[in-house]
Amino acid sequence: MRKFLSFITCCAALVAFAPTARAQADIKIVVNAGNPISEMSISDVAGVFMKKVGKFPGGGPATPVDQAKNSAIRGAFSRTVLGRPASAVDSYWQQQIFAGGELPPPAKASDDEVIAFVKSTPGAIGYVSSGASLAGVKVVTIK
Amino acid sequence: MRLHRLLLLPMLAATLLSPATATAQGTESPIEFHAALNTAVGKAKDLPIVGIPTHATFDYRTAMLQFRYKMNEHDQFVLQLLNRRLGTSPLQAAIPDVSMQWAYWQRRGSYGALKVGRAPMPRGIFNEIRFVGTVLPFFRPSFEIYGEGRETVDGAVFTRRQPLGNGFSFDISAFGGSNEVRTQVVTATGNSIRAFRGNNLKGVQGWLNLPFGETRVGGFYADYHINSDTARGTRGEILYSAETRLIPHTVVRGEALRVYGVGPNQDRKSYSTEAVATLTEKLDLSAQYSMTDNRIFQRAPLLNVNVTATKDVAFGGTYRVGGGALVRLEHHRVKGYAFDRFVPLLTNVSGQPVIAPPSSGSYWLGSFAVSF
Repeated sequence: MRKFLSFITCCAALVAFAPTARAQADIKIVVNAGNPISEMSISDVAGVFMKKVGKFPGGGPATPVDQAKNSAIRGAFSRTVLGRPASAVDSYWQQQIFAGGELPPPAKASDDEVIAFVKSTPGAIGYVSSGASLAGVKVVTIK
Repeated sequence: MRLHRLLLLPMLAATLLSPATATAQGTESPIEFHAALNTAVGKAKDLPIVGIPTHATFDYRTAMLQFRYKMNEHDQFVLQLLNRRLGTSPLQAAIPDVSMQWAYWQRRGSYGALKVGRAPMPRGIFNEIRFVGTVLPFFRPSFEIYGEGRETVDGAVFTRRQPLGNGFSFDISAFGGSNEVRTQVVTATGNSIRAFRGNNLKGVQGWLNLPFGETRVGGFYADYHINSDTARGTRGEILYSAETRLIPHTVVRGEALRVYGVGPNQDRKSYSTEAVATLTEKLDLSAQYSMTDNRIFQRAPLLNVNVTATKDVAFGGTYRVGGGALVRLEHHRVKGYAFDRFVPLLTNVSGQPVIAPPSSGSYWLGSFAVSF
């Protein structure tokens, strides 16, 4: 028992000094041009992407679309918006899948594919890098 | 049985190698498949335990293949095959190599979700994900709380999340039907494998989700009727669970279980607590302490006695190698009476039966897990 407590103490000490660098990236949240929503909170966006809520704050059904699994923008989005590293988000979806819960949002290979999906899907919400062409979609302001 | 195993392995291989895998993930296709493999090598010292012999075994794994067919926006059909190998465990005799672990239809709506058929039992933190090695801190969740061989509900499961405001919410699950029960029981004369069906199963689980540190506290209750060669009557289970990430980069969990009723007569209390520290995005360290207190029912004039059947102290490290895969090494030190080889529970002192001193053993388990 003493060894166990020592181990826990060591773990806590290591964790306390672990680096907590958070990637700061310029990410734009986009929705279909016909969507009346214009601003959302970070927690609203996270709730939709983790499928904890199925609707926009205004009430319309939300269909999130993700970026490619190992892309830099997905890593940055996971940390800055979802508040956890991409590996932890993957674990969350594995839990959901094998517990009979929700399935992860479909993943698109590039900004252009995300934009095309959002443009053609009324309730879609995605995220793209700041350099992406935003024609035909609406950028949501984060409040 | 062997035929089932031979059929499953090519299916898993085909799934892993098929170019359809990538396209089936995260697309709008109505058919999806997912798989999880958790395979291990284990070696025990002194005494065999949970199927791990002193001469080591590689025959230790779970493998799952899940198929989902999305019938429409609200309905889906889910099948999940499970291959489970427990090394040299006596319990393996009661557990098939391959089984249809899940087979259910599910409807989701604004009221919640309803599963009908054979569905995972909402029980504690881990039961529904107990075979997904990539999300577990150890090869398996605490054996004292979850055991092996009782995971599903044959009947119906209803779940609903109720927002309570200010970031609080409440998850409620209710289920009914029947379930399989397969356990390895330590008695005064040896290990006994019991496999029977729990009928008239009814149960409920609630989780209160708190708005800080992804904290949740929950309670589970179920009872069912046993009508087997060795027991007849009702058995009940109460399980309390809590989980928090309040400490940065750390998950702390605790669970307490009581099983009582027929079995034959039993009153078992189990506890488990664990902490998982995420040191880097790739490396976790885990520690776990589990124990079980068993009440031994004796015939009059002997008094019933309480025995600490098992104490298990475990440490582990997990390294994520990428691509949804990880490797893990864990060590368990076990003290008590629940080993795969008989150890005496009672001894005689001056002609009177008394509880024998506990035996000790330990084992290493190295595992590889992947899921998609």
